[in-house]
Amino acid sequence: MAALGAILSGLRRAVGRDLAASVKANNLLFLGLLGGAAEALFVLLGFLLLFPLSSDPLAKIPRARLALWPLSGWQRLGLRIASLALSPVAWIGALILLKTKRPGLALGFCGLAVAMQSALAVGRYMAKRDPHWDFLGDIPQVPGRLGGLIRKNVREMLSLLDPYAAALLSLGGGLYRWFGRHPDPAASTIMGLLVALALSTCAQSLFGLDGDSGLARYHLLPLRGWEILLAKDAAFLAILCVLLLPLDPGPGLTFGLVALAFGHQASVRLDLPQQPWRFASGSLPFGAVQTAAGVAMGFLEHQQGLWVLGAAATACAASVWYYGQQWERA
Amino acid sequence: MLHCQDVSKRFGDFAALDRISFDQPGGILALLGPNGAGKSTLLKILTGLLAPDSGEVRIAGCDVAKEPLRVKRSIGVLPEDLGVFDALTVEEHLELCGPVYGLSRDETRARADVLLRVLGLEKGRYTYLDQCSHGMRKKTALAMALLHNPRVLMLDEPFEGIDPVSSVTIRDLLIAISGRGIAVFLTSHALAMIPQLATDVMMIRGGRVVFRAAAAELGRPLEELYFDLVETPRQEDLPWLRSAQS
Repeated sequence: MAALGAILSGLRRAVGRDLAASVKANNLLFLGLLGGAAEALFVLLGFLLLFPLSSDPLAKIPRARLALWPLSGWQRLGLRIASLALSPVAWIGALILLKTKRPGLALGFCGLAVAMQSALAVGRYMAKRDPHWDFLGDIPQVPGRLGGLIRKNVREMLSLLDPYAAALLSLGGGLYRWFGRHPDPAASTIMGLLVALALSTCAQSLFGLDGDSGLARYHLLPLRGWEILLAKDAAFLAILCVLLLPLDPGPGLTFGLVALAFGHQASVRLDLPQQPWRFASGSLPFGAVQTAAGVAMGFLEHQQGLWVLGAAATACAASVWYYGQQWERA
Repeated sequence: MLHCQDVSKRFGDFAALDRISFDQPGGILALLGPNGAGKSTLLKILTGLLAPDSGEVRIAGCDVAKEPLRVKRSIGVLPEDLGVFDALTVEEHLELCGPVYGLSRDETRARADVLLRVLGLEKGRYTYLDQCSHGMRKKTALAMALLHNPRVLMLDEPFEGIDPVSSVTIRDLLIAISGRGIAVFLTSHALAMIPQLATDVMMIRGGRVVFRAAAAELGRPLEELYFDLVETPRQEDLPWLRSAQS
């Protein structure tokens, strides 16, 4: 029992840390200011969060280590069952059961989580067997001196959940715009801003997925700081532009440029490490400023036209130059 | 080729390097010392990753502090933490580096093919670095250091975690490129390998140089010299390992 207790205690700590890393200061939290109108958006985010949260807690122990521990068959079975209680999906399922008194609904929720994990496992297996299934691997090298870095940065960004939340918003907005009976013209602008908002936390932590090893490489490459930041911004803007295509791109792009102009400060000065397949986590006060400025400039672009977009691009370029120098000194 | 004058570095009260000076016009200089002696700190200072508190470092005639870009173009580095990206495959690391150092895509591809073959990375060229073994990651970083034909090569523990065949390949490669006028500076714990490739040996302890000589003039086995000058092996019993009871 002592052995199982020690393992479960370690596992509980690992799950707790993972959970803390999954739900952090993301600019999407500001959607809460919209009140009830944001409920559908939070359901969508919850759906995306279910992918990392529904992973098997026992998988946090390296397989070889688990196999080497001197545990009997019964102890292993006990560990397997007890570890399920550490899954956030089990807690949410229990909450649903307590609140709705409908076991079918709770089981259905757990079933959805299992189905998502199964789909992920199949996806991983297919990607391992046939590289064509690895969609991140299909991103081509961009021509030019910074091409390899831009490809890497696009790939890193696409390993966060934020672009997928933005993609769902973009898809929803696009469908409404093209197939809605009498689509409100302002909806396209608002959805464009929401897409940029969904991506904006990534702009606060542009080096978050590089780790110490990647940062060491950046400092060894014969590149100026502004070139490193430019490669980061190019990846961010490339993803944003694609997602804005079905919508009104001007305001969203303006928001994105403003988010980057502010985001360089946090990216260069704050240490905000990110975890793949989680939402990006940033600084909440910083995100508030970023979001307020981005939304304001986005609406201004909608009203005043392209000169606002030009001003945002200039601010972003100035920020790249300034924070590039700061990065070199860091 | 490599000039280091009175370089010192402190971390708080701890003196990591204390007035280190040496010149290396060419050949292969092996830097030896125990963990925490200051080897990696010195390598970081030589490559511009860390600024010294005092002293001067010049590489191929360029001041590391004043002309960092020129220095970076002329050196190939295998850093302590390898400097690799988990989101890229082995081959993509070389595709990233070539254009950054001014190589065309075709030239990059041609050189990458040779490097991957020589370092035994051909089979794993499409593997993401987060799925590679430590040895493969290290060999990828070494390939990145060699791709652009550097004038000075700086390698932190190039043989650590590498299989015997690859170790011999790397040793022969280093001897060959040093013969072509490229200066090699490396740190290592692989004492058996050093006499086979180094032209000069330098030992540091507590951030100070305690020995410097040409490898051909050591006079005694390197291991013996190292244990005498740098660190004596500790001999202590682990009493709980003596009985059969756990």
